[in-house]
Amino acid sequence: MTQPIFKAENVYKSFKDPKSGVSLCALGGLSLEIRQGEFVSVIGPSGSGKTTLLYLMAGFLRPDSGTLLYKGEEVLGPSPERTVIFQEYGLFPWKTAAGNVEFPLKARGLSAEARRIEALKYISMVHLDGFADKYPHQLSGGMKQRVGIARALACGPQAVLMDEPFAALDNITREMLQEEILRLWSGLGKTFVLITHHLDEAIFMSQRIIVMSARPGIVKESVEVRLPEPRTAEVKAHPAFMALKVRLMKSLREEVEKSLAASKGPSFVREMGVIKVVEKEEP
Amino acid sequence: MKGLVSVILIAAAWQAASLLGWLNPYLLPPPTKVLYAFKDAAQGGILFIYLAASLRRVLTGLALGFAAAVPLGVLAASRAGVRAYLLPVIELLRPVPPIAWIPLAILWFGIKGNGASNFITFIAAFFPLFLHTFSGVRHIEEIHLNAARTLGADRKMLLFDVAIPSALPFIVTGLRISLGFAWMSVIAAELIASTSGLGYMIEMNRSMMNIPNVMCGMITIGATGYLMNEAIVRVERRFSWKPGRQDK
Ligand SMILES: Nc1ncnc2c1ncn2[C@@H]1O[C@H](COP(=O)(O)OP(=O)(O)O)[C@@H](O)[C@H]1O
Ligand SMILES: [Mg+2]
Repeated sequence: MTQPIFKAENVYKSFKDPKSGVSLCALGGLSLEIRQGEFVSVIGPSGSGKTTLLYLMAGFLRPDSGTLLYKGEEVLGPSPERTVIFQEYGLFPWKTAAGNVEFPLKARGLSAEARRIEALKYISMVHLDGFADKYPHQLSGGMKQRVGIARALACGPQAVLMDEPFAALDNITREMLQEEILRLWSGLGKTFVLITHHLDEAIFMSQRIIVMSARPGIVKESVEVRLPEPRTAEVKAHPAFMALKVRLMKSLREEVEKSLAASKGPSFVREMGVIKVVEKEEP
Repeated sequence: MKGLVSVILIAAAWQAASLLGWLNPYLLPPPTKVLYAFKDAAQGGILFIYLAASLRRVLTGLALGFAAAVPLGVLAASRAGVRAYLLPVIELLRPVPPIAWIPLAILWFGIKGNGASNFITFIAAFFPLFLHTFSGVRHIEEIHLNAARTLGADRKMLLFDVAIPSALPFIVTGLRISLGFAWMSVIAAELIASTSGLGYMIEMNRSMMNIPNVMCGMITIGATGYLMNEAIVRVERRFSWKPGRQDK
């Protein structure tokens, strides 16, 4: 059997508020495995440590304890092999669209002409022909994220890590980009990890969905998505899609309620605890 | 241009007040006299020689200041070790006005030649450029650093493709402020520590009570400063990648 591309074992990560000095536990012993070539989504209440998990995989952060392995080796820092698509795009505003896409190519040592040719290929892959020489502020949100996608692909990554990449976009743009990402994924055989709080998006796009618990975050459950592939818009009307959505909604709601309760003080937590037990008895 | 209207109105009021005998012509000569002085100084060529001397000192000081301040600013911003040693020294030296360095400058470089004035303009140019470069690099957004690292940037790319372009709008603003400082300081330096330049021209004519020529020098300083600022504001707009400021 092939080894997982990512393997987290009992990962803890806390943040210290620099002003108050209070330490906050974002991840509390999280373990997971992600297979090579898989499309996985991570969902969970906000503040459950999803971004923290992704940043650990990207190498922006290091675990306090536990291990995080990429292809069997500890993640020590960022690498273009595991590149990131950011929610706020993270484009360099002083570079054009092509300049942004050329960045990882320049890092790989390509000559100026080779870079340009290669960058235009990726720009065309995300249907931005004609916009290569525009600056980010001249592009719409959806176009900016297309540049973000092209730039990530130009890294020649093994894994693409996405932190709510469509959260700032309108519905139509979001759906178009979802389909495009899926098309790129199925053509490339790379591993995609998508963080989202959007259930439809998670189900539509993924082979597997990881649900995070309320803070401190751990993996609450991992659900295989058994829907016909390649995924098209019709999938969203599939009965299995609906059933899964209901199931995940419940699971997610439990965690959201837990995190709400936690922020309202201990007596309420106990109360919610009872309610939770009752909910769990339902089939 | 509304600014030009104000200037003409002020000159007209000044001329009228002089004609009405409200102003003592020895203390404040009328604009016509100043214009004649202008014409003489320009025709004799001395005005341009002095202007060129002052400009050369400003540009020399600015170039030296840039060469020292930008690398140091980048270094202090990107390395905590350098920052800890360097910032206190900078903050100790910064409150000392450039003209307070004039006695030392005369001692070190003498009155003849450009050494003393170049040194003063260097001091004047250094601090705004250093501070702007420093805070420009310190203000890089975390997401840009993270993006660069996850795209495979090495130290060189982090410096030349991220840190410096990200800080460039700050650096150009620093350049504008430094230019203004250096221009003011060069005149002060030339009043005391030089035998050429617009500052020297003012001081020499003052000692001969040739007030129209003094004012001619002052106006040249003001006009040149104005033009330099206009030019660099344009450069500033050109180099700003911030949305809204550079929409073409
Ligand atoms: N750099 C940081 N400094 C301090 N606290 C942080 C930092 N990053 C995340 N946190 C905290 O850790 C928790 C988890 O954050 P995050 O991973 O962003 O959650 P999510 O992405 O699931 O919303 C939150 O409570 C957040 O406030
Ligand atoms: Mg997040």
